[in-house]
Amino acid sequence: MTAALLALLAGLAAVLLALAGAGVLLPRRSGALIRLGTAGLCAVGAGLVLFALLAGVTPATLGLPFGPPGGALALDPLAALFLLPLLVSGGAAAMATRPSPGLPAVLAALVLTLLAGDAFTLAFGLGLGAVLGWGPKLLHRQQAVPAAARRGLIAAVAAAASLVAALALVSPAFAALRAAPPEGWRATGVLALALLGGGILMGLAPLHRLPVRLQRAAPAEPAALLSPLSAMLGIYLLIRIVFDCCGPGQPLWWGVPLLVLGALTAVAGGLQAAEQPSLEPIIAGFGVQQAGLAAVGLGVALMARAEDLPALAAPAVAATLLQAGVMALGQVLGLLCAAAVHEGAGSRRLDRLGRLIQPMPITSLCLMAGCLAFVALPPGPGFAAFWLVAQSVLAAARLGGPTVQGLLVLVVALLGLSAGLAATAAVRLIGVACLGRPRTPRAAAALEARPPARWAMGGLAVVLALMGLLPGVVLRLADPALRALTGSGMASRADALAVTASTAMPGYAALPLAAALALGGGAAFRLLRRLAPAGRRDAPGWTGGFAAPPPWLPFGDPVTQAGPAGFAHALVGSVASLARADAWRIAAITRLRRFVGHPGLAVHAGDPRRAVLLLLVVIGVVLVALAAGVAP
Amino acid sequence: MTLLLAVAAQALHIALMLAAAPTLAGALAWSQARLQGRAGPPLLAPWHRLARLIRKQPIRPETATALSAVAPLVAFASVVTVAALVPSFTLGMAFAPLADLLVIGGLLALARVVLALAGFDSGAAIGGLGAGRAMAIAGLAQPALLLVVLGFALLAGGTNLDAVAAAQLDGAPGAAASWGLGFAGLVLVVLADTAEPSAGDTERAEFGMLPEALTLAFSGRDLALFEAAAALRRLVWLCLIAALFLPFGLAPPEAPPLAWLIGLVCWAAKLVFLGLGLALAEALGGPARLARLPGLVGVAALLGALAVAVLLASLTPA
Repeated sequence: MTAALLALLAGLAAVLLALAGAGVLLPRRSGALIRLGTAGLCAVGAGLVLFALLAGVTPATLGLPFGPPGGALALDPLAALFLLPLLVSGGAAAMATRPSPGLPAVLAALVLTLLAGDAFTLAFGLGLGAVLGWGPKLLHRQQAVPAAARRGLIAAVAAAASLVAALALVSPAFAALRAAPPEGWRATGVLALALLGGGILMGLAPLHRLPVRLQRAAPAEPAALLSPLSAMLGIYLLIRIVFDCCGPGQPLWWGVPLLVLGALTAVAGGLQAAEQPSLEPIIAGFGVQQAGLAAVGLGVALMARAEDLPALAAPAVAATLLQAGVMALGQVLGLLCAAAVHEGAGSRRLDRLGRLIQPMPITSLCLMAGCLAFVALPPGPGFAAFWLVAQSVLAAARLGGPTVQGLLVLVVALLGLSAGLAATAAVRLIGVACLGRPRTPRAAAALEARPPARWAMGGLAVVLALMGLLPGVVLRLADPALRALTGSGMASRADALAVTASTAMPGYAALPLAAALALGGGAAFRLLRRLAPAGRRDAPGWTGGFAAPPPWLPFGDPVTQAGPAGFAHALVGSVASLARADAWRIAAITRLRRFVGHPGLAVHAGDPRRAVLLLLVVIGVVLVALAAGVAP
Repeated sequence: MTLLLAVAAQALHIALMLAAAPTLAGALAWSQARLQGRAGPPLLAPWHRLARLIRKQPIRPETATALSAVAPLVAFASVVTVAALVPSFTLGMAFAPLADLLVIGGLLALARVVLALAGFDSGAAIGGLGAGRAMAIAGLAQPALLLVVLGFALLAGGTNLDAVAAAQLDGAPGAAASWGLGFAGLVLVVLADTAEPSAGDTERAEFGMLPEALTLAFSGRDLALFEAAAALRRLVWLCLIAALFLPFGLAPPEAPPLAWLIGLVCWAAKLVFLGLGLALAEALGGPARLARLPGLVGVAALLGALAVAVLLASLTPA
């Protein structure tokens, strides 16, 4: 049955390509065809994949009639699992945006990449996506777009090249690689190249600026809209190559680069989300943060498997999968909302928006749902994923020697920082864009998105909410993939009510928690309705003591309202100054000068960096001391 | 029978928490005033204030959106849920399986986020400033909090609060070594989280640091909900410290209601001790300043990291 599904999915990719071709040949008449065709195909494909996941997917391969010998498509539970968010969000994107042939073309290439069974098909899929998505944009009139297109093309080609090189080191076909996993320097080479290739797609540190820059330069292009899906593909390829194909015989340290880079990426992504001035780059920053958390989960999974602890590896891989899904769906939802805001309110810059919840209620609510999905707030999807990642990291603290334990302590602190930054970024985006007073007349007169876009955004928001309320059901769907990857599933530890990390202890019960929240709020509401007088009276609000606005500013002077710049500076500013290399250099020189001038009085009193710096230094010293004391 | 006891304990616990929160707020304000040499407000002043606020009709700024109507309820509901999860006098209450440390942190963060969004809603500058302050403090406190959670996860093998408290009651190995460090770290987190200018010192506080910065546009029952949530939040923190670090007296799961009595007495004693400590710290520390908070929570994270390091060293078989 899986073979038939694989053939159907390959056919789906071909029809999507044909749709794109029709769009290029008949640009005037094909709008409705592209929109409905792409959305319908994605819906049918998602339905088929969901049915197959429920019925059970057995690995199947399909030889390609063209290309180099050995070229094959393959489908197994892992690929099927990743196909689901890809098709769902692809269909929603087709419904919501203006029809463009680039969208089905890029979707087809993404499906093809996900179904690749060997290095050549993989390179073909990635290359096709890059060429079809960015190629036509090289000649775009707006000056920033060709530059972004060039950057997108180069990044995709570099990712494809390094992934193919990783596979070419051993054997081009996934199945052959799995049968004979690499060892020694070859294995290290595979890890490094796969990290590079996957890292380019995901925006893993130090490449965390790539996705944000892309969104800043060309936010409206179909390839940029679907870039969250290629980031998800990066996570898939890392799992496929490093975890699946390289086998359980790899050493413990394999997980360390992913763990450390992932934690740094999570902080860097949160920082970008809290600092960027316009909607799409903020959403991309959230995506980078989520990708970092997913990488942390994968790192723990690799370490747990090296120590032969499948019961610990399974929740870690489950965390990665859930995080990847939240990242892709939430980011596509956020980007669709951003596009709707740009169309309806005329700007994507936060300092030109405000109070969108009144003229665009559905778009605003969906934007809120998308942003809060990334934040670790129960009972949302981001919390379910964060909970699993945190549980894996906490459980892994007993693994390995003092060095690994020390790293894990650092990773835990960084995870906390990234969660705080993400929450700050979400409050900043929602508070400035959707609440308060409008900052421009255009924002005050914004228009709600068209009905198909509303339906698409609302659908994605509902899917995300369901993921948050029923993470156990999602993990049940992932169980065959987890079994194939780690040898231990989550079926006994996840159901509709709760998800547990270990069988010995109750875990995270999203649905009962949501019920408790509703009960608490409902009881307070009933009580107050009985005790308090009904209704509210509207009155002019206190404007903070500013003078009355001039008549040409009917909504008040925008500068008398807190804006996006410098929001939560005590947090964002301290982390940002830590993250900037030149700031370190300047601080070092100043400190040196001051030290020379006043020996013993080298520290500046009000510097928020001091605390974090002190923290890092002392953790380092303690860990070194610990390592020296405990190691034999 | 056991289930019945668990449900009864849960109901009693929720009622006690709701009753204790405004009383504790009154006691704190009174003891702070006494420490500053003033007579101080009556103990039950917060109760009177809540009753007065509930009787008033709320006035809403014209610029506020529908979020202003929902936010107080959501903030209160999330803090009440946390209050139901953190044990006071007994373990093994009906909601104990839900009481995960990360969930507790997440729900407190949810209340914070909703409060910050409510601050933005009226469109006044001070609300946005207050929101930035609230999120900065919450974000800075996260690493320290997560490190303390890591320490307890190492001790108890998981993050369920009931299991952690039970492990602490049984005297988990290695707990003593890092007790003081973790305790100090969490206390600093609480000090930062509940940071407010001392009573009667509001004129010296920074603009965005005013406690009412976020709730300035709220009145009537909405303000009552926010104030009740703030009082409950402080009580939750104290109960969390008590359950994690001073678990003595807590009735074990399935204990007869007679053991609850001991638990209740110990709980009251712990609250008095911790409340006095909090009042003393706030009186000695002076009004909270935003510029000092990163340093404060940086030290908290440091203490948490040290606690974990000591714990790991003592857990590693020599």
